[in-house]
Amino acid sequence: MTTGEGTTLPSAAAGGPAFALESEPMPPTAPSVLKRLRKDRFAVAGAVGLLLVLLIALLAPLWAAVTGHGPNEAFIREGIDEFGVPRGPNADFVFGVDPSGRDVSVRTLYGARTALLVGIIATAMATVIGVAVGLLCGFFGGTVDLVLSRVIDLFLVLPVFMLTLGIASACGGPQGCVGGIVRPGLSLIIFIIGLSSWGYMARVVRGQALALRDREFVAAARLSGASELRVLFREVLPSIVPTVIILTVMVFPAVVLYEAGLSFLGVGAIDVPSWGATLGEARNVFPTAWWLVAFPGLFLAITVLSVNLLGEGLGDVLDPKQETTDAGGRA
Amino acid sequence: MLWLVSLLTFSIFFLLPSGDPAQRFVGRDSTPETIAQVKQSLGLDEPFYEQYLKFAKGIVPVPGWFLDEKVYFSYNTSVPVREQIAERFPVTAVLVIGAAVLWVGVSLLIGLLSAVRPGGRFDRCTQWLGLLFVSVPTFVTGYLLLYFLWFKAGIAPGTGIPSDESVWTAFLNGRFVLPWICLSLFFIALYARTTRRNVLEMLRADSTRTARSQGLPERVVVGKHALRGALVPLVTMFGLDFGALLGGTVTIETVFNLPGLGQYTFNAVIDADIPAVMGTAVFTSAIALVTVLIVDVLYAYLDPRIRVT
Repeated sequence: MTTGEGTTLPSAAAGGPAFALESEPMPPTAPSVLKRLRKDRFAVAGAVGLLLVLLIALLAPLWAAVTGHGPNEAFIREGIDEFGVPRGPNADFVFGVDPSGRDVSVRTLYGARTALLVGIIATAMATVIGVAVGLLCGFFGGTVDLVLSRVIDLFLVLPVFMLTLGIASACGGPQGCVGGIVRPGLSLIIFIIGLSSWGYMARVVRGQALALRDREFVAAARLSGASELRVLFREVLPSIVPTVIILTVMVFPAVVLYEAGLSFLGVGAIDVPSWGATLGEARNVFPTAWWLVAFPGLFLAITVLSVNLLGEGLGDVLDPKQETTDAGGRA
Repeated sequence: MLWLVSLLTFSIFFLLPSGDPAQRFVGRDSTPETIAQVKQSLGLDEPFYEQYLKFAKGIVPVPGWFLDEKVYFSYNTSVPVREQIAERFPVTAVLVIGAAVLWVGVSLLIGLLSAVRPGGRFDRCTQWLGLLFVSVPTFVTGYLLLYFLWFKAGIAPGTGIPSDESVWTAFLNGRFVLPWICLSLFFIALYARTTRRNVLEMLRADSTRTARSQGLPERVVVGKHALRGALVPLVTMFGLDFGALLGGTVTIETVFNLPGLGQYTFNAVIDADIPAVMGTAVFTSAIALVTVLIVDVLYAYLDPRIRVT
């Protein structure tokens, strides 16, 4: 958004670098960023929403204890009526019951844990891989860049969703795959998602590192006798931190939606409650069992929206000339 | 690129131990002899590279070679993959093209209007709405649309296409309206944002100042000069998204129960039906490549600077 301070320069011609670096010698310091974030409407709304989700994730076991319903426990007799239809919200089951007779409220709260776990770990994986590959490409250039750039391109054009489906379905069986080394479950899903979400990050970081390589302060550090590694970690890396933060905040919602999509299609982790899975189970019964859509859908939306709002605020504060991407959930 | 995608897809699915295709082909009552026989006839006893080479031939866009029926023949449904694609692609195409028309039109309008008065009420409203719609997954929007417009209000048709209806009649009966809305909402949000940013940027460009100083009315400055400049990066984005969507929209097709390419691919992957998986992978990659080519041509039309190089 550009309503804040500082007008942006006209962009380089179409197809120019997405992250044109302007004359901002130092990234803003952390305290000043926080101060400005607190004044940003988007950021505040996002932070509140995220805290809410974090809170319900933490309180999930407590709620399970209060209701006496385990997250994977089925209550066929109490929860399913004589026609085989799950019961709606009532005093015992506040958010109703799912087609397998499980308590939707408990599963929805536990779903927050799954979503946050996937979001945090898979985003961290994608960030580490993306930054490492991007830096290697951009900073060292040459053959390294040539080879790794092709790998990045490949990851960006591969029918990733299809491959993910294949791996998730082949390894999702009870016996796992690759001789039982890869076990089905949440960790497999997190691993697959993290491993397929770093391409965009790598490309942007590469572009930044490439631009930074020839900047004066990097040259100055070199001239003063700093080793290549020192230049990389002390000069280049700190300069790309704002970009990486913005990208990380963009990867997070995409990753959460990715997991929801996989679970919705029935190839997510089967051992943990997931909002996407509950939404998938609603497919044939949602006109009557609206609670299967309403509650998991609401919390999924709150989670993703909060992070997007936070990203919007961070973008305003860190980099007025940010690039928004299509890092959303794809159908 | 097409070749790389196909090789990687094949390697991964070849290495995945998701049951023996020959076993599945003959069914439950099978003797080791019949399995061996089927393996031989399907060419499953050959080494990896020979099996792959047969598939690789199907990439070459020559009639008789492209998705050759002998090789791209589903293990599970015993139907040539090409036939299935021909049957299902129109469904996906109608879905995606309709949604694309909707999302491009609406998002350009919203983007332009909000860029004209940045920070105004319209701008702020659409900004929040945009953030909301990029955050809600399509399958949730789909359920909501169906619940309220079909189940409650009864003004929209329900899910699925009856088997006696062709794609065209289904289209005329409005069976695609809700899927269109559902698919486009996400993209409207995304594209309106990008349009807004691009137009704002163009309005600050020197060329806009020149146009203004020539005394052109503001309507022309924004509608013609700024919009045209803003369109260029949007076209690239559109090409990529459009090409990718034509390859199948699994979640939307699942929610609305549409027999499109996405569902076919999904089932093929789940059943480890290698010829079907390979066939759809090759087909969708080819579609994506063609869209990118078309985009390049459009690009040159929109931005004369590129024509030179």
